[in-house]
Amino acid sequence: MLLRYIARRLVIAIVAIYVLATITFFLMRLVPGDPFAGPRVAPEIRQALREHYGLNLPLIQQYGIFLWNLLHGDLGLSLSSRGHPVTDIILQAAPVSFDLGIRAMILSISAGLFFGIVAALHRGTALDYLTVVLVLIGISIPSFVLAGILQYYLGVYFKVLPIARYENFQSTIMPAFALSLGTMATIARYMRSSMLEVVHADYIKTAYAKGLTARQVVWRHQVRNALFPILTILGPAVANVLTGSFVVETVFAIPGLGRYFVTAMQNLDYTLVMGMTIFFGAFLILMNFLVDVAYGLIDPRIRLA
Amino acid sequence: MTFHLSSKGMLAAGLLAVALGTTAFTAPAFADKVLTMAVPGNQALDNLDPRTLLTTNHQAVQMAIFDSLVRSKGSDIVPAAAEKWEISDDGKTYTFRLRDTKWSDGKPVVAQDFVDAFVRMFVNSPASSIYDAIQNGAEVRGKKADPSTLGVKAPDDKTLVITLTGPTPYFLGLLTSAYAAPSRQDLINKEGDKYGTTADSMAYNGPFVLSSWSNQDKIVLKKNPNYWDAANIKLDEVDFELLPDPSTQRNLFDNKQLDVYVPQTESEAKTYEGAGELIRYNKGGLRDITYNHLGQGDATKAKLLSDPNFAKWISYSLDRQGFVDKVLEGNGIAATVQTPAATSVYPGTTWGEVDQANVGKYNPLTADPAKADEYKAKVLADMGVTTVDQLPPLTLLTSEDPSNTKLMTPYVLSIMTNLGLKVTLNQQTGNQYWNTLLYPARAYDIAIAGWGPDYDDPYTYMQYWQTSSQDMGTTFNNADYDALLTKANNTTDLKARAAILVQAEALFSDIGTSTPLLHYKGEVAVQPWVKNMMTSSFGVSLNYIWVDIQK
Repeated sequence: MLLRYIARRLVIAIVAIYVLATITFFLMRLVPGDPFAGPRVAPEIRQALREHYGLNLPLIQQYGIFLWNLLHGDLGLSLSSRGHPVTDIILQAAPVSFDLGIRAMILSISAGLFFGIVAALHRGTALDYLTVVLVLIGISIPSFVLAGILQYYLGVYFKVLPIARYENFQSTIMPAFALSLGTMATIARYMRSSMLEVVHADYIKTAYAKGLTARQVVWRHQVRNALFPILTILGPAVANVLTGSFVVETVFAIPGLGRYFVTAMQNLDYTLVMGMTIFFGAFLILMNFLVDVAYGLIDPRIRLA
Repeated sequence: MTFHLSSKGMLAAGLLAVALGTTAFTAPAFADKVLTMAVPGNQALDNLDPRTLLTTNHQAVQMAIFDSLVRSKGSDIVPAAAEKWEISDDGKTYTFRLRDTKWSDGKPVVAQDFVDAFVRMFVNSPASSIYDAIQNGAEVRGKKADPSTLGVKAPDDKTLVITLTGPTPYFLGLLTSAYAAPSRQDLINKEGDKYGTTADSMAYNGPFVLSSWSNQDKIVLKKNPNYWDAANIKLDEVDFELLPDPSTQRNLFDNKQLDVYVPQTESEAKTYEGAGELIRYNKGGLRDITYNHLGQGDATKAKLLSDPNFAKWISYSLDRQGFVDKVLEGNGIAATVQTPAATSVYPGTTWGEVDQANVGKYNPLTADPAKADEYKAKVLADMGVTTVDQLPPLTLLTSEDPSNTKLMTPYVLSIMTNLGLKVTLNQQTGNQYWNTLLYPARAYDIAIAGWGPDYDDPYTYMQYWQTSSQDMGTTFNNADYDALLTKANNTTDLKARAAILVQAEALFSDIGTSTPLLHYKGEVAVQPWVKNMMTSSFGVSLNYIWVDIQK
């Protein structure tokens, strides 16, 4: 039955990616302008470049070529990184972003859950208010401000961590922390409210009535049930964090995917934008699928119909 | 109490002795001389094939790994791949004698490598118009002549003959660029699109070779032991790290992990100057306001923007010197003509010395409200209206960040708005700015634009205003101006040529499509152990080839 479910989700996923690719393809071409514009570029050369990359063919034909290549796993050549296949660019940068993202997620999830649970259990006390304030700060501080502050104080002033670049374990600490804070705060907030909601459920009262200790009730029932909303946001959160943050990667000079999201569009690099969109779309679909499967596995009441 | 060493203690003592002994015998390793810099332009360099030139950022690496015929050394031009050359009396024929050098893979550097490079430049490369002085260059690019007719010939392996369309005094300076470096056609044929994207796809003949290249991360150059002048190259290694954020660069520089840093503001520069770490140099380049005489097809706008009185009205309302002094804190030069004063016009003389009559004559250094009002009255009369708000609304195109007050855009916008004009800002970044500004779109009324010099001669600032040029979205079509430039191109007497160019500058300053705003001052901070860093006013600003590290 799980196999049938997976097969059905796979078909839906393929259709979704196809729709995503098509919409993005035509939307990108609607943006006016020539990717090869620049000072001193002779008109004949612009023409020659457009021909070389097949941009002078009718749009439908270009779309057909694009789909055909996509089926063969070829995302084409980047228009702004001359000579570099888009697949190579993504495959080179993605592992770095993933590595940073995973570290950030571990931090976010563990610290976020911790603060959320602690705040809920000590509701109304100073600890709760402290957590709420920390959460507010975490959500509000722009990542470039945090990154800049961390880099200056920990890197230059106190000299305890490397300032930039992704070379060893120490150089992952600051960027992972800067990247994790926003998601950490969100998880803490959701976990806290989820815990507080669950505490009013019937089964909690039953558990206490049966004579279980507070610790047993909290760990066996309250936390586990409160985790469900977190699981829902985890899908997109992981996708966002793992595919690179433009700001953190720029400030800490990390060779990840983040900067391509901005520069590819600015440079009108059609192929790179398409490649990035499909990559991110596929990844997001995968994460959502994993979350749904996790739901089915964790909660026996949910049937993966 | 007597001291006994247990067997464990003996072993420990023995190991310790061996360790100390080996360190004592290890001679102190002379650390490699490594220069660490940020990748110029703060964005990854995608392709290092010299013929894919689009920016000077790429050239900063290319000039180290390729040797052109001649090379810039400070303000001099010195022999490089060519050991000597002759220029004919009419200035049109250059004959170079190449020295015996090899590519990094062992093949000899021959004259045909240069021919192949120039042919490829005109057939394939975006910016070949810089070298249009070469006979048939423009025709080859426009596919009107066969590449074999290009004025670059190799009569034998060690001789290269370049024929020009006219005497071009700045031509040797042009040849210092990495854009004119030789190339290996056999490798290009073998690698196809991949040529220039990896260190292995190319061969090198420069003072350094491209040792490793992680595209988004780090470029490592190592000294080329077979370089003909290897004895004078002191550096062992040059590292370019990709550091997209200037604040990160500053932090690394302050932490002594980066050797070179370009300050973002004048106050930053002054702190480094106080520590004796700042180099100030002549940096070419211009920032200006360009008017679209075609008015994007709107007849009223075209009439307004083509009226020289309109440009003068705005020009006399600008306080260029005030802006430089108060906003830029002195980090700039108020520009009243297109060409910077420090540009060389013939050996021993700069543009400022010959062009004095034009300075401040057509555009003022400080605002002159009385004269501005005179021009305003003329504009209103020309347009047949009585008040300023009857003039059509205009858009101001810029690529600058409008919130950064250290740039010209907010100042210019505020001046125009204060005059009562209805001007809206159109900010475009990256390629979109070029798509909007350039032909064929030319979708701007007024644009904040500029120019960077390709060689050290006033002609680079003037040539793109010719009618035949479509560059920079220009709409200036003036037969007298074209005639002056053509005449200058064919004059062998350099002083006479300078006088003609002064006339051209005067004409353009009077009725041209552009009002100059600012010329640049260059400044860079280097660590105290970096010696002999040279600078240049055109092309690549920093020349690190002969740098020595003395720690």
